[in-house]
Amino acid sequence: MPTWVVHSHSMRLLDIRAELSRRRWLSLLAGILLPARWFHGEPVIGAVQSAKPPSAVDTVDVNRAAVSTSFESVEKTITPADQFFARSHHEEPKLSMADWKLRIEGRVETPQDLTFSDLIESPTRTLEAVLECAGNRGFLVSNGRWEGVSLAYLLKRAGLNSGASQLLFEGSDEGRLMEGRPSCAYARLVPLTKCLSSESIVAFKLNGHFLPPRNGFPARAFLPGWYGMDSVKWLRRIVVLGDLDQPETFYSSGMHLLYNRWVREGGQERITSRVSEILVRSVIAFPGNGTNLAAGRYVVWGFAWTGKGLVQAVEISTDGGTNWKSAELKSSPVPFAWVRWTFDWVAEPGSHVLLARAREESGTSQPITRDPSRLDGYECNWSEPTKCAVV
Amino acid sequence: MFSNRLSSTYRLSKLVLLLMVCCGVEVHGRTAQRPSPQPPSAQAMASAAEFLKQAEEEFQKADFSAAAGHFRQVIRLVPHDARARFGLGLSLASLGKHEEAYEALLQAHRLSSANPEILLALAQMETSLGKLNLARQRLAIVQKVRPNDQRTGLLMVQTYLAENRTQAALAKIQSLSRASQDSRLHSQLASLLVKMGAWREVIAEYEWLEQQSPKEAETAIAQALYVAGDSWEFRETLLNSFGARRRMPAAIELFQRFSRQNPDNPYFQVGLIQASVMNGDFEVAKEELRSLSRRLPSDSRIYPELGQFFFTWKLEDLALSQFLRAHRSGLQDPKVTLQLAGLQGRGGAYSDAIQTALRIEQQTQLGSQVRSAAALLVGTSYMSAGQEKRAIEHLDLAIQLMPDQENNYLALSQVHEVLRDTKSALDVLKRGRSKFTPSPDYLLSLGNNLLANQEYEDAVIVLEDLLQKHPDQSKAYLPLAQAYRLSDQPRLGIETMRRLYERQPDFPMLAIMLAQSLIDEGASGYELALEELNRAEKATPADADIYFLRSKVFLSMGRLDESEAQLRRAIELRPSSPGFHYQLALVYQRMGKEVLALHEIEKKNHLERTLIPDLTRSN
Repeated sequence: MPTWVVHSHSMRLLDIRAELSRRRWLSLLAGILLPARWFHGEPVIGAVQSAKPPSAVDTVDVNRAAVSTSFESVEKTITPADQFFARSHHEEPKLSMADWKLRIEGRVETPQDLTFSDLIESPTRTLEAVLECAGNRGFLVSNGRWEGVSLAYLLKRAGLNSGASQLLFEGSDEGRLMEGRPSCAYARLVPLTKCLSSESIVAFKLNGHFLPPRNGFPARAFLPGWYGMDSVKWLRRIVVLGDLDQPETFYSSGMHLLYNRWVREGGQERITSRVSEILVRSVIAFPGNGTNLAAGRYVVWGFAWTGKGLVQAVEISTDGGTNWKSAELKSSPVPFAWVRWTFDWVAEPGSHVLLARAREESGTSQPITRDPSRLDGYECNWSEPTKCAVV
Repeated sequence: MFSNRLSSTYRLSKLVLLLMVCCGVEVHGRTAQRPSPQPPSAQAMASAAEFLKQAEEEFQKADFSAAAGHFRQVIRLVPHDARARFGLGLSLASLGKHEEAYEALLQAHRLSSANPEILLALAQMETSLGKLNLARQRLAIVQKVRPNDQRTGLLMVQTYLAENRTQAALAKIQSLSRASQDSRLHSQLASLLVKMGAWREVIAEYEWLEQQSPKEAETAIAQALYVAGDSWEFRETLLNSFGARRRMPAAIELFQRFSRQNPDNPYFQVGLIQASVMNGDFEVAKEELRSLSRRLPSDSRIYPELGQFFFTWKLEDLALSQFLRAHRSGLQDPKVTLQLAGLQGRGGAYSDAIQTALRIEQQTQLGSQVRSAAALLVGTSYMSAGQEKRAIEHLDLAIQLMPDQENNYLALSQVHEVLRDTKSALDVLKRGRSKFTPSPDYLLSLGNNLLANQEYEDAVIVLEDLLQKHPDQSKAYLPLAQAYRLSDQPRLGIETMRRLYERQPDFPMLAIMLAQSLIDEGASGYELALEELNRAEKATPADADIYFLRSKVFLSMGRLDESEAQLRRAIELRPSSPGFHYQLALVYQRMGKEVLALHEIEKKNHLERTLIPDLTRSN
């Protein structure tokens, strides 16, 4: 079992320096800042000049796998477990419930070693929620019923010490994340406030069955409302950290460079903040892009979701965004889960571009196009056009 | 053991003496059988009476040593005083001087041979000393005089128990219990029953006492719990009794108290967990489980029993959790291991189920039955995990180990079906059929596979046989209808569908299938087919297939306008079905509308260029 290491503030700076060019490094120092705030998801770091931001898709892990979901298989709102999307950075570890253990340590009064039995016997909660990849451009999203143990409960049991402000989730999957970086366990840092929210759990069931191996069996972190990279699969260790604590492998692996918003502003590129909360979005499940249809009446349908609050409405355009009409939500939206919507469409002969846009209760709408200042490959929630040829 | 028995001897003897005193039973000189050769003087008699009074007071105060001294003084003054000798015997017994006590009682008996109290005391002592024949003889004498005497009955029970005649003891206890309303007697009976391990009877006594004397009930159940708290059967019987009387909160309170008072005894906490589950307090049960597991992270006895309990209550996650704990304790019980594997498989943890069951399958020293069950679990888990070839290896082994187990054949045939190898599936089912009486599921599977292998006549025989014996097997009707149809007996096929229709008018798509069969019959079936389609339309008016089939009938009947209208409705409901447009093209062709026909063919081709799955539903 690896140990956790707390680095000094200066060590963290050295770690960053190894990754960045001298020029970027100086820019970084000028904007200052640093990581503690960064990892609380607040806007932060100063200007960085970079040719291209590192992203999850640039990583070198040859064994990673992405399994797309199929909207066709969704029953009402639930994606069957065997159709659930999966995205991994490293090879899937072979784990068994009999041997699995979860270590909770760091800034806690009583470090815990939990077995699978301990997890099952703890108070559990079940909630329906979307899991979406931060880089989802189409089918890397699913919605299921998750069952697990509240992180707040587990942390309370361990007893949080003063100064605890963030959690390191470490998976059992290991590998090299980037060229020139050491092989490390997959790990993510998440602010304590999100972990203490009632919806955040250590999940061990999906749709009433134990997690499929590729979705994190025996147990994974699950943070509803946040993109999937923080819901660390094959969870083996939770380390409670303070503001200035720097877990070595998180930085040496290069994980800290992933899942950040990189923008170009005023001719400069810079990281503004980490990616976390799922942005409001909808997808058209039928008709699929490039479908040929015969003229007639169709029920266009799909799903809409958001990580923040509730979906308030979905609108559909069948003319590429010129005109919009309301779709019907098939159920009352609930937090973190997607809602099915339908739209009656009389398809006339010709070419059509269908768009769907969702609006959340705060008033924020799904954008129609990508923010041109964004350089990273995350939060791709703009409306994807669905082209149909009708005869 | 001996001291326990004497301790109860003391309690009973004390009771006897007190009763004698209270009831004024006379056992000294006046009732003596043999007169003294030299009668004592009046002064001696007066002193003896004084000493006797003193002795009995001391006995009541449990000062047995002083009581024995004064009883001896009485005997010195009045040697033939049976009462004093009786008192001396009881005092000495209470002091643990059994031989002397027995001698004193014998002398008392010689002086007053018919006195039932002395006989009972002697019988009790003899039972304790193992002189069972003598005890039985004395009890027989007493029983003649006092046929319903409880103490006699209790002593008889003790002699039975000393002789290991538990059934006789149990019968006697039950007869005493029925005859008496004395709560102290019931309490004593409960105590005896606890020692016998007769849990159901203990609980019956407890229930009776609870109505009559809660204090005695409390004592009785406490004694039972201390003696038998670790017995699964006892706790279960006790909890069922509470449950039957809708008193689970009282059971929870009882086990909570015992658990608090005896923190080193985990069984009271186990009882509390059981009671909480039976009361529907699952979170309380889990809380106690967590507390128990902190004290006892693994245990090879408690956790398998708890696992079984949770399994019975359909709390499969908690059952699995207990079996995991048992497994971690190093328990090698194949039954527990298989239960764990079964729950892992049911929960979708196929890899774990395989690993767990393999441990049993590979132990060649184990019996064939248990290994076959393990191989079945391994095989079905591999099948669920999509590894069919491995599944076949293990299911073959399961059959090899237990050739007369139907499930082994069924599972193997299903793997072949998944691989679309219906020939192998059929071979497996044929191989197993003669080895046991096949279940309806087996016959249905056999019939389906005969049908898939074009052995239509055999399929008809098997499925007809199944439906004659089990007409409620609705899944067998359609394959039978199909078998009839394919063996050139379409009428019987239609009849079979009608049979199903009569049983289950709402069977999905049945009317449409029936209509299709009638259409296949040719012109003679058209009118009937239209009737079926009308019926189907009433049930599911938005089903495009109804209008499509109707258009086919109308086309065959030359009613072209009606056929076109039906197809337009079908296309309205499902615009992107290439087949509908092709059919419409045929109608237009027959109408001589070549341009329209060509247009529909173009649409058909356009739609076929993107062979999309049917995503038009929006459930």
